[in-house]
Amino acid sequence: MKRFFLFTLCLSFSALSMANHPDLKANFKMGNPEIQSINALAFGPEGILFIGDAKQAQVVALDTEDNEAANTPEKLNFKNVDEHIAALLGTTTDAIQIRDMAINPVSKNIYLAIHTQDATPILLRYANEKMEVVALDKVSYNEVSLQKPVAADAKDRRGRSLRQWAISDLAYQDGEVMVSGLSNEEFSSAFVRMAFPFNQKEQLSSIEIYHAAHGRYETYAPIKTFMPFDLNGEKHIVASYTCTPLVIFPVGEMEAGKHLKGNTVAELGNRNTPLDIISYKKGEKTYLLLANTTRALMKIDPEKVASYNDFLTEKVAESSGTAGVDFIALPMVNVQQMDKFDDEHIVFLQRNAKGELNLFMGDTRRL
Amino acid sequence: MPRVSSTYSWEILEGFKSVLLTKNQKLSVSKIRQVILLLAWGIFCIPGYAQVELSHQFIDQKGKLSGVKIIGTSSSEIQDWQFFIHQSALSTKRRPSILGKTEIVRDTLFFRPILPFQFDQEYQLNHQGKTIYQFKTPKSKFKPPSLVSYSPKLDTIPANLLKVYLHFSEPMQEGKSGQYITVTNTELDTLNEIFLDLQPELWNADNTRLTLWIDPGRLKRALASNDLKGKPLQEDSRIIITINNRWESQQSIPLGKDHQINYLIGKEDRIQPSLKQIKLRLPKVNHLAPLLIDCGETFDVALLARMLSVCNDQQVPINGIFELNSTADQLRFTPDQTWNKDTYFLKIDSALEDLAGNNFNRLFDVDLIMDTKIEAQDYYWIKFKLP
Repeated sequence: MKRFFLFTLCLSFSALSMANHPDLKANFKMGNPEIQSINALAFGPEGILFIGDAKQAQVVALDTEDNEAANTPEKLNFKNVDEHIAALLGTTTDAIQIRDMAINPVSKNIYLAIHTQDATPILLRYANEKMEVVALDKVSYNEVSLQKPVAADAKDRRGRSLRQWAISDLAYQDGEVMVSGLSNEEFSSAFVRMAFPFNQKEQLSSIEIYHAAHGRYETYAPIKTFMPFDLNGEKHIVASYTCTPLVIFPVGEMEAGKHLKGNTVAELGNRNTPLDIISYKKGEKTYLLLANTTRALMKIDPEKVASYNDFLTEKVAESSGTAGVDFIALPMVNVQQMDKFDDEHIVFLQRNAKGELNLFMGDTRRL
Repeated sequence: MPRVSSTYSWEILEGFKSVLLTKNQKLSVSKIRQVILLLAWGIFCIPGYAQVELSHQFIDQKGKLSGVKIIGTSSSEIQDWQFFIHQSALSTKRRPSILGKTEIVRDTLFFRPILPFQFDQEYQLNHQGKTIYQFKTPKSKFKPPSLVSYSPKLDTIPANLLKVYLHFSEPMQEGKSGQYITVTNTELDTLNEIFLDLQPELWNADNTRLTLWIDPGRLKRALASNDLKGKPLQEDSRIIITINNRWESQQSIPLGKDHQINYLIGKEDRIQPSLKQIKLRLPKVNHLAPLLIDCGETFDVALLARMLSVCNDQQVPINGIFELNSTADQLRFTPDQTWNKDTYFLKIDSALEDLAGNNFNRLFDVDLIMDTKIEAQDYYWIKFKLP
């Protein structure tokens, strides 16, 4: 999930961004970006939505033309949102998947990436208490290919390519788009940084990342979810792997082609795949929030992450199977998607104990 | 009020047949109720309304109904006409109408939903809030999918096997592997938490090949999952991977029968692949005979197909065909043209992995005390001279 960080107030940021980026959409074109999948969403400035399309191995920057600050709704409680979406699409809930969710930081409208059972991607926007389809065929956009030049991809007997690079997460920060990916073949971590506006001549930065376990073992692993975050005044990536260690990387050390070792700061429990990570404020203090497949929502103090130097030299002994930086397990489970609405509110997509999938707003004071 | 006439195309009639009684079908309470409801609906809803024509021209490439044409709408506004799916957990009051593009051309209304109407579903058409027509779409006519292959295709796999590939004959529905794939032992006890429930799943572009990961957290030494749950596969045991018959293709056709894969679990593979283990049997210069490559162990088939190449003396790949034996440890390369130089290279991408995820640069997990780290490089080269 895919977030866009506001470092200043919205108004001053808008003015600043206009000054720094005279025209972010100058190289946009009208047409059909031929999006074949929507694996990840992240908003940039000026209503630009970045769409990670694994099947086309591309990131599309889409001008949503949704760039007006709206009256902030006081509350959101959309029950059975999957049933509603399925009915809108003339199908049933077992035939759709909600792949990602992103909130436009300007308009506060909620965007949902849907895949149907026959893998048709659909982008929905929840605005003015109404769910609507965002057209993807006649749009203003630009795109960048993630495909490395490959001499000869393997093909099956029908000539179909078998290699696929699944986009696991996407983020925008300070004129840069960052993408993490999982290969459906080699077991490695790909992390790509690219400048925005996209420059097709510019080389993508691909960084191979590994981590340590208890000071004795080193292993490569694919990143499942990540977020850019400042730790000790330096830009870092806080990433969570498919095998759930929480790892940090200094952005300054990320160079194309470099093998970068991340520092493992926590193990967050076995048989648990991270789903999403965001930051939020409670009062004056900032926290990290991690959603998981089988564990409760985890609240982590970034100051503890920044000051953690032990890097898990001891084995995990407790039955809970967690170690490293402390976290607080919040009484929320089955959170499938989340994104920051504003500093005081987070929007969650959560399946409750009754099996209902609800879209609602949570107050950070209660987290 | 629009006038009535009924000319339904055969696709829709077939849909209705599935609701009505067939000759040899036993009467059941639900079936009688269906018939009564249909008759009641016909009596109360059809009179006074338009001919609802569901034309062939709106059947898409996949055989789905992608639009309908309603004749006789001259007195109506677009917003008066709405389509709804019948099956929904939402009450009729809360159920939204189907999103789509509606146009009125003279007295004919065209409706194209965002998604084609789904196979084997009931829909209803409302006019000014009143249901005037119901129809059921036909069942999918696509052929059932099947598991056509898998890898590794071996009797015995290493205890630290990392990946299993499943190849299907048709594009399959995503997000269902956790529901439809089970692993059991020979006593048919379910072995939980063997494969990582990764979302999104790792499919190829057209959803015919799925990559499953044995939970890396349990394979990696000293991680929490490994410490607490232990290794996922136990040496000298047997496992059966079952792919459930109810898993459907993207065209809503189930596999129809269970597919099973049997493996005996062997020793762990913690040996890094090296050039020393690769043996070549060379063809003669100016001949078209194949180059035989003995890999010394089974490699990941998917990677093997694109991470090996044969190059000329300038280290430029030459065209030819690779063939792999069934155990994926030997290859045969036949060039398109005769071997006309005496020096060639076998180029190996360092990312080529064995079954345990070890590659030419590193082990899957490196023991910093016991293992020797080597300097990583992108490619490895084996130079050979033809006799």
